[in-house]
Amino acid sequence: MSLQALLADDYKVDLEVFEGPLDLLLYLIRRDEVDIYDIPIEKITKQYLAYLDVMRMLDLNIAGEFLVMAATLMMIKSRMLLPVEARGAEDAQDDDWVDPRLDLVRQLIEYKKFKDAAAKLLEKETLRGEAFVFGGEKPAFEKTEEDAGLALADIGLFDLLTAFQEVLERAPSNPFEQIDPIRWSVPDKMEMIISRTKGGQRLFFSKLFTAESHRMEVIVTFLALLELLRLRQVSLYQNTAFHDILILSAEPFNEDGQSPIIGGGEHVTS
Amino acid sequence: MSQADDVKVPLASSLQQIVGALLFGADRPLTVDEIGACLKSVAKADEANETSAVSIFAEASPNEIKDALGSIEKDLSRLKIGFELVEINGSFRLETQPCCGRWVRNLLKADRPNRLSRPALETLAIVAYRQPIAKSEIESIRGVMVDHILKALMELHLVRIVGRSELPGRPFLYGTTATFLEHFGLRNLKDLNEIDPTLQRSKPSERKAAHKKGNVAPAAETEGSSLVH
Repeated sequence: MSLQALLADDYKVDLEVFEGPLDLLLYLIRRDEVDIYDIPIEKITKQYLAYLDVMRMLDLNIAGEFLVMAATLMMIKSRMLLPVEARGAEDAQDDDWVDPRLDLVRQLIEYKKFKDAAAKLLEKETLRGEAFVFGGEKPAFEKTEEDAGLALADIGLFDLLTAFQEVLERAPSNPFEQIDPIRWSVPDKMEMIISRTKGGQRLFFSKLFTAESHRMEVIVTFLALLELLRLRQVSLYQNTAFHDILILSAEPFNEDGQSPIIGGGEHVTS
Repeated sequence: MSQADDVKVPLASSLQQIVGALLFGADRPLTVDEIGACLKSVAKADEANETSAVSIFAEASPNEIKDALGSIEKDLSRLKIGFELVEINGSFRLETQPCCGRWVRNLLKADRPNRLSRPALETLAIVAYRQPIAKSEIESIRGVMVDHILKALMELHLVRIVGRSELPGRPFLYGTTATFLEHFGLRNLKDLNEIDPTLQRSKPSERKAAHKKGNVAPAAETEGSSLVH
């Protein structure tokens, strides 16, 4: 049964992913604290493909580059598996053997430099945001719809997917169960999250689900969370890397708590 | 003769005083040139008056004005009175200190400032350090398409088209704007080198040389493989 069929109304969750395959690889390397110069390619490939599955399950608009990277990883893996003699046959001398991971490592390191620079720019940006000129005027900085995407200020998409993966693993899934297609819908779950974060309430990601939450309910709830993020109705915080994620309403002063964006059967496209 | 002319208003005795007053009174960031022009034009208006004391300030050189700005900056940070002199993109202005932001925001009922998303910041960092740069080059560093993000950054006036490449198809080249410097509080693009010394801003000519080196595969690869083994 497809996910779309389970969404009771026509609500279409259209999520663009702006992170690329290099982001995912760097995330996995950081999480497992592996040496970037000596990547355990088999382990990383396996994990990479698992994340790809999750993203497909959520119907995220995955860029083709993710698939290209999957192929690259598998090629590197197969070349790493070649015995030393076979490598020698390919290259004239053993000394000439080039680590098949080399190009990828170079690319990752180059990209990581820019990620670090971006983190420093963020520091600068945050400090600037705290300064005011005479009369309190600041250059207004309106976000455009195009920039929205999956913009998570404080935690990354892959942190979120990790949390999701963990919940999903625990969720019971009975393949023979009769599923009532109107049991869960994205707009309902969005309303649930909004009401549970209303007035500055703290909602932890782990509390979104119970032990009995059905697999499909987990998926629908997660999609609702992503959609609220995209629409900037909630923001996420994570104290320490790889810990539980805190969900807060993006507008704690909005008393009515009723978001105009959740209309029955309304299409939201980005 | 009006009464006002009979009353003598005491005149400033130091350049620092005048520069400080201009910064406080201005409704916009001031450049050294603007300050100099103001000093000269006041002296000019007073030319007829031979005993006027304003003429000595007209002689102030750009360096003297910069010195005055420097000592204002030092004095303010020493006094810790909640505001400081900030230089952004060659202009100077007084701003409240970031450590007091929470109170000022509350008083002014200002919203929290919007921040850029992580992918947007990364794309911006690549443009900033490697400008002028083509979209395809950004994409090869990030490993993912950047059309949307680049468009959004342009709409936010953080990135602009600065020219066209000589490569086939003559793709657009992108660079950062004055708004970029303003948004991140940078004096100029050289400040980027201080932010991240490992990522020196490189000119395209240097990059081209490095690129050519990369094309000579065996030499480059043995050099790099020492990293791995």
